[in-house]
Amino acid sequence: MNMKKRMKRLTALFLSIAMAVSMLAGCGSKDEAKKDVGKNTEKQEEGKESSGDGEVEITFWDKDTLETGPQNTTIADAIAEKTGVRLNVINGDAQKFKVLLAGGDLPGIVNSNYGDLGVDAQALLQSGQLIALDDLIEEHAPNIKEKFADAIEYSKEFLSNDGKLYYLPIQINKATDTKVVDRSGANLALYTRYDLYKEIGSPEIKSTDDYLEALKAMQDAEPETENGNKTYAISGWSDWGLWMWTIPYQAMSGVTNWSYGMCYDMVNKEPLATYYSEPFWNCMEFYNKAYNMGILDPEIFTQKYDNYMDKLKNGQTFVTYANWLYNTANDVYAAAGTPEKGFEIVPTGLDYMYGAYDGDKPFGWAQDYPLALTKNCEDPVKAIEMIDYLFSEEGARLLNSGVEGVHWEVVDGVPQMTKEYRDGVASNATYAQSEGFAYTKLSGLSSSQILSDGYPASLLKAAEEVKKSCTKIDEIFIADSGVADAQYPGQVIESKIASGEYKLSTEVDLTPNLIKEPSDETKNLSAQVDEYVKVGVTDVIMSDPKDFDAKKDAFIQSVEDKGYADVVKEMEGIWSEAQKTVKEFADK
Amino acid sequence: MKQKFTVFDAINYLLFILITIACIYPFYYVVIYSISNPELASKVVLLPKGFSLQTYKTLFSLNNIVGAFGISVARTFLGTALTVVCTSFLAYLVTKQEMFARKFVYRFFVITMYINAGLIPWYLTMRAYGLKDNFLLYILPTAVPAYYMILIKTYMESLPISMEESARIDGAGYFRIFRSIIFPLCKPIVATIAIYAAVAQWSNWTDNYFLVNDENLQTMQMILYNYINQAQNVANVSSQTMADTANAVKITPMAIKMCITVIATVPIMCVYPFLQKHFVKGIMMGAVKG
Repeated sequence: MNMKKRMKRLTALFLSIAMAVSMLAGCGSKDEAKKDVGKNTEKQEEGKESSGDGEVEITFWDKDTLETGPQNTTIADAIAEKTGVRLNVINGDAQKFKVLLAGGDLPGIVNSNYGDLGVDAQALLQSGQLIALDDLIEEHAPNIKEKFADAIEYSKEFLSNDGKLYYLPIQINKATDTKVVDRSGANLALYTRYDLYKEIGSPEIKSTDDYLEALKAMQDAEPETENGNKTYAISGWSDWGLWMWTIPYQAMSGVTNWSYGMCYDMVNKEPLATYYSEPFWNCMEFYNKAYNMGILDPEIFTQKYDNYMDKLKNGQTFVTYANWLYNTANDVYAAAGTPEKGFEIVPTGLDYMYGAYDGDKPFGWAQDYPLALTKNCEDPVKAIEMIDYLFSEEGARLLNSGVEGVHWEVVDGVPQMTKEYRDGVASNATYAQSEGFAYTKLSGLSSSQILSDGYPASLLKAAEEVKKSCTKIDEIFIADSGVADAQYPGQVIESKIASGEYKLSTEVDLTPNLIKEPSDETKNLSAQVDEYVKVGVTDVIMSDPKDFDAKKDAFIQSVEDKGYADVVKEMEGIWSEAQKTVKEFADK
Repeated sequence: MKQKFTVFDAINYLLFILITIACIYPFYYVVIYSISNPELASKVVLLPKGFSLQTYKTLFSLNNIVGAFGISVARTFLGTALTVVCTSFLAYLVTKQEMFARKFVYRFFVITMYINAGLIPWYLTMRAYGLKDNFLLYILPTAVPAYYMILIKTYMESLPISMEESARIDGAGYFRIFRSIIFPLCKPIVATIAIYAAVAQWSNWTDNYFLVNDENLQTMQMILYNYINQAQNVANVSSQTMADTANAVKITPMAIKMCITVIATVPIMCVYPFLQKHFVKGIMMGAVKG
């Protein structure tokens, strides 16, 4: 009797498991059907096309969206309405992408980028998973055919292995007289606490030594914050690799850091070996002097970016390095009730304004994030038609500024963001993303591209808009600068570039875009060199000034011991090859 | 004889107390961090600083979190049941000398413990079986882990064979012997396996990550993982409207990670006490005499 009971119980258990399993196996499709019906009725109520007929779902690899799956954001709805394509976002990391690639399950549209995907453009080409776009563009993309001929030429030459078109470069910019200048005046620079600079009398600064003196005076003027925290004029962070030592100072010297121990002088168009180069050693000397003057935060060698941000927001440091830090700091000070505190670009002895504004970029972001269609594309014709639309002015405005009437509107002839948008962004950190401001990698035109209405694709970059986010310190800076018609600090910098006080190179220069990947051996050596550099810079910067030259020699000796000389040899070869290729392409 | 409390005892106690604290404190820290005010939480030591369930509220209001919770519970429950049943029965079969190709089958399973083809072959295999975007992906591939099978087999071999023989004499078949005699006696080891399998099922998200895109089949761990990545991005990117973050509630990525840790481990901690008693009970109680 006991056995019978147990048998019944076991059988019941097995059967219920079997039932549950088979029920859940079909779970996905059942619920999806329900959801579709829900969407259908909703759409029918609004008089739009139901997802049942007319809309094609096309998968797209995108890491900027808030949620994956079929996109129901306001902007995605607008795209679906205009083009009949519903974006279905798939994302993940490089490992997942490689797995999907191996399985032949790539999404329909991808932006090729080695960092994001773990495979470079050539490897993706060789996998045979991409569709050639020549015929599709010929027949279904009149806008692209006409307006993006240069980019297509570039792509066929450099992003293809058989002369056919596979990749569409994005974010192309055609410069006009109106310059779309960054709010702060640059993308990377040494920004200084302008209120303190004024407090010490706005001294004339002609060299980096003068700048260091001024910083010391500032630190002496404010050795502690109101909360009693010690201040250091210069601080930083160490968990972004070698960023601190190879990017901001050099950017202001007109040098952009590249990979594998190389950097590029944008003014003289010359590749340099970073650790032999003058800009790097000037940077080391700058920090070394700062350290010995007592104005360099010793925690710069150990603290994380988050710690630095905390110090920045608390007012414990007087130099910052990038426009997003400038924005954060100035906005935080303003929100805390002290809008007369803030950062601006004061003379530093260095005069290159990296990233102030864009010049002509006929090839856009070139080999960075070009668009490609894969063999899994659910409907290549519809996809190309959608891309053709998104590459137009209307599409660019949609992707970058949102839907007209919802996110932006024209008031007295001036297109600007709506109150609804401003309120949304103010109340919710993820408002923009949830509305669909996450597909900009589908935009053929750059966000600063001035459209035919005289305003940039992204209205957030229009002068009137940027002016709205200015704080008191910005007004003081503008007043002091003597540039009468500047609406925001960036325009002050723009006029100084025009007058020659500051420098900016906006020529089209394809060389950095044509750098090929070096051999694996070089990559390994370079990684070892970088490992050493991380520690080596600490040694150099913390040394006594009279030992500086000896330390410099020791540093160079150490990197050469790790194989740096070989790395440089191969990289210089790669760079000169790129320069040659650029010349040939330009002469064509 | 009264036991003297020696110096050795004192040091012994002290050492074990320290070890206990070292084991408990990290988890305790996670829990109090998660219920503290996120802005002050980084200074937490023994007691929570401020009290705020805001991060939990945010996590529980994530899109589709309830459905995902259901999926996670379903896969844990069904997956564990399936694993226990299949693995123990296989282990029983392998203990029978008269089983066809017994040695081959056993070694075949053991080899799978040492040889792993890697991520891409796994992906291709699952796809080939039609397990993409399918709930069965969560429970079928993990139905027979070789390690558990070995554990159960070893345990079964330690049971006195006389019990089986006496049941055989009475006319019981293999299946009958398994479910009436062997399986109940294996409760300790089965409970162990069940805990391992349940924890693995509850915290597994990689199969979801690579193979399941369907929104209705997302597990809770996947949604939490996506969210923490998302939060990291939001925290890093400074929008031009940062001035108003003073108004918006501040949720730091660290606080989110702590809350997610608590959400991920607390359910298993609740289940564990119920299974613990089976570790202790279930040892044969004089079933065979002589």
